[in-house]
Formats: sequence, structure tokens, C-alpha cells
Amino acid sequence: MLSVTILVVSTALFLFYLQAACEKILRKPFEDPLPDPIVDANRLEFPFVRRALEEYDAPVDYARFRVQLKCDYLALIYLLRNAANQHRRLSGDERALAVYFRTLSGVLALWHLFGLGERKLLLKMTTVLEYFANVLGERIKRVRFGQLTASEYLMTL
Amino acid sequence: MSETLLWGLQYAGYALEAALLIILLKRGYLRSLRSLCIFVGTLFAIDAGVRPLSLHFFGIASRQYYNLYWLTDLILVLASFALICAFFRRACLRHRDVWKTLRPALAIVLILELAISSSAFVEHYHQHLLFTHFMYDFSQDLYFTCVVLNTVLYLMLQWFKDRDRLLHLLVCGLGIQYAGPAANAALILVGHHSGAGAGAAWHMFRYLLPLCNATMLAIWVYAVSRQPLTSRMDVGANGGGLAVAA
Repeated sequence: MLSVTILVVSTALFLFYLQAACEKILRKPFEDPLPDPIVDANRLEFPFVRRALEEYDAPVDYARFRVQLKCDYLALIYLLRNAANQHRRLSGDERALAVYFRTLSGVLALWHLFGLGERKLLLKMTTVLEYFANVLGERIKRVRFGQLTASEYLMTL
Repeated sequence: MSETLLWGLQYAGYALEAALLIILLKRGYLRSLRSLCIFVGTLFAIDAGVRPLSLHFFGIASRQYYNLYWLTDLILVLASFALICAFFRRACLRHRDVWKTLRPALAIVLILELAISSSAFVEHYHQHLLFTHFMYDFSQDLYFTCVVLNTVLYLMLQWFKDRDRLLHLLVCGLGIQYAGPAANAALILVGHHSGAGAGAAWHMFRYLLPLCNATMLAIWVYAVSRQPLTSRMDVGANGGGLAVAA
């Protein structure tokens, strides 16, 4: 009985610490949180999903939100790999957060199946996407297109 | 394939230990995170120096290697207990009254551990394996105490609403290192009791231990390399003139 208790508690703690470490990485401060040019130029939907979840008490449109966040994730991962990135690969923390996002996505599907509340998980997924957008924003800020910075260039499109 | 994976995990751990030690020294953490530097230095010296050398000279089946392995294991568990105590001290920088209560409590925990583990000393008094049995029991007991203490520390940080991001990440990393193998050890025990699955659990344990160690070190490397230097000063400045020696 004692071994089962230790097993359950330790497994829960292990998952909890992994999640806590990801959450701490997500709290990294950025100079320009949520860069609009990145969101606008790539037609990212996660800020609208977040607003819909936080500001309106409407029921969660699971199917639509899930597809929107997944599309944003794929777009942002592609950009993180290829935009202003000499190495063409994700850094360690970006990879860890990508795994975290996919885990959240799997848990979301399970919670939906069992009829548990999805709102909190969807908000966590938008936080990961916001982090990716911020990293991309900071990286692109450093690149110049002639006389313009990347964000100025994007605004002229 | 499985041996290559195990080998890769172990060497990834050594590389991370060396990288962490270099980053700590290069970024000037020797004063502000003295105990972490000592812990990582000890870990690296044992993992990459003492154990491989004794394995080379005495062989895996030798009594010397067996004794040395458990002795270094005990040293590492004691070092991690000391590290948790140092983290508690850092967490209480702005709450000195809490530290005044905690300090004797931590000492009592260690004394109690010694008292409980001494039962193994008495039990194996007439056997040849006296020393290693005691070391093994003491290490195991202290290890589970560290799992609990680390959780208490994490909860305390949440309660204090501490903004020390570095300490949060260090505690999370340590938690992963403790909780993963503890869960696996419990799984082995459950397997033994139920009479099934213990072999698979043992097999998993071989991988989980270096994997959790590498994860902890990766989180620590991230924490110390991405931590802005100014925030270390902030902790010191707000700590009422106390030196931030964790």
C-alpha cells in the first residue's frame, strides 16, 4: 500500500515539476510582448481565441479553437525554424515547449472526451504560442531589410 | 541499440555537468550560488572522475568498486540535502524569521534520519556488509526526505510569491531528478509485491535515472545561462544587504 502511495505521489510530482519548469520558461519577460506585426502578417488566431476565452463567457467551441491553435503552432514552429535562424533548428527551450504544447494538445483531446473543462488548457496553449511569437518578434527585430527593420517592413506589406 | 541509448544518456549527462560548471564559473556564480557550484563540481568529479577510474582499476565485480560506489552515492545524497538547505536559505532571504525556525528543523530532520538509519547499522552489526548496508539505507531514507523537502520548498516559494525565477527553475529541476527515480523505485517495489513487472521496471530504471539527471542539468543550464545578470543583483539588493549565497 505504501509503495503504491509513493508511486502515485512521485509520478504526480514528476509531471508537476515538468509542467512547472515549462511554465517558468514561459514567464520569460520580453521587451515587446505580443508583437502585432508578427500576428497580423501571419494571420495568427491565438490572440482572438484567448480574448474569446477570457472576455466572453460563451461556451468553448472546441473543434474550431483546437484547429486554430494547431495551425498557429505549425506556422510558428516553421517560422522559428526558418525565419532569421542561421541554424535552421529550434533551440532547447523552444523544443521543450513544443513538446509541452503537443502534450497539452493530447490532454485537451482526453479532457474533451471525458467532458472536463477545456478552457484552462486552451489558455495554456495560447500562452505557449504567445511565447513563440515573442521569440520570433525579438529575433526578427534584429534583422534589417535595407533601411527598414523587419517589423517596419512587415507593416508596409 | 538500448546500450547505445544508455551510453548516450550517460555521456549527455557528463557533458551537461561540465557545461553547467563552466557556465557557473564563467558567469561569476561562484559567490552568489556557491553551494550549487560545489554540488555540480562534486557531481562532475564523481561521475566523470572517481567512478570511471575505480571501475578501470578495480573492475565492476570488485569489492573496492562496490564500496566506493555506495560511498560516493552517500556523498551525493548528503550534498543534495545540503543544496536543498541552501535553497531554503535563499528562499528565506526576505523572511529571516522563517529561516530562524527552519534552520534547526532541517538539522533535526538530518539527525532523525541518522537515528532511523542506524537501525540498519545495528541489524547488520555482525555481518561483513555492515558499512555498505548502513550507507545504502541512509542514502535511501535521505533521498525520500529530499523528495519531501523539495516539495515543501516549492510550496514555500509559491506561498512567498517569490519572483526569484532562477531559484524556481533550480527547484523544478531538482524535483524532476528526485521524483522520477522515486516513482520508478516505487514501481519496482509494487512489481515485487504483485509478482509481475519488476523486471520491466528495473529495465526502465536504468534509463530513467540518467534521463532525469540529464533533464535536471538541462533545466539548470537553461536557468543559469538565460538568467539576466541584473536580476541576481536585485535579489541581493532587496535582501536587506544579505549576501545571496545559495
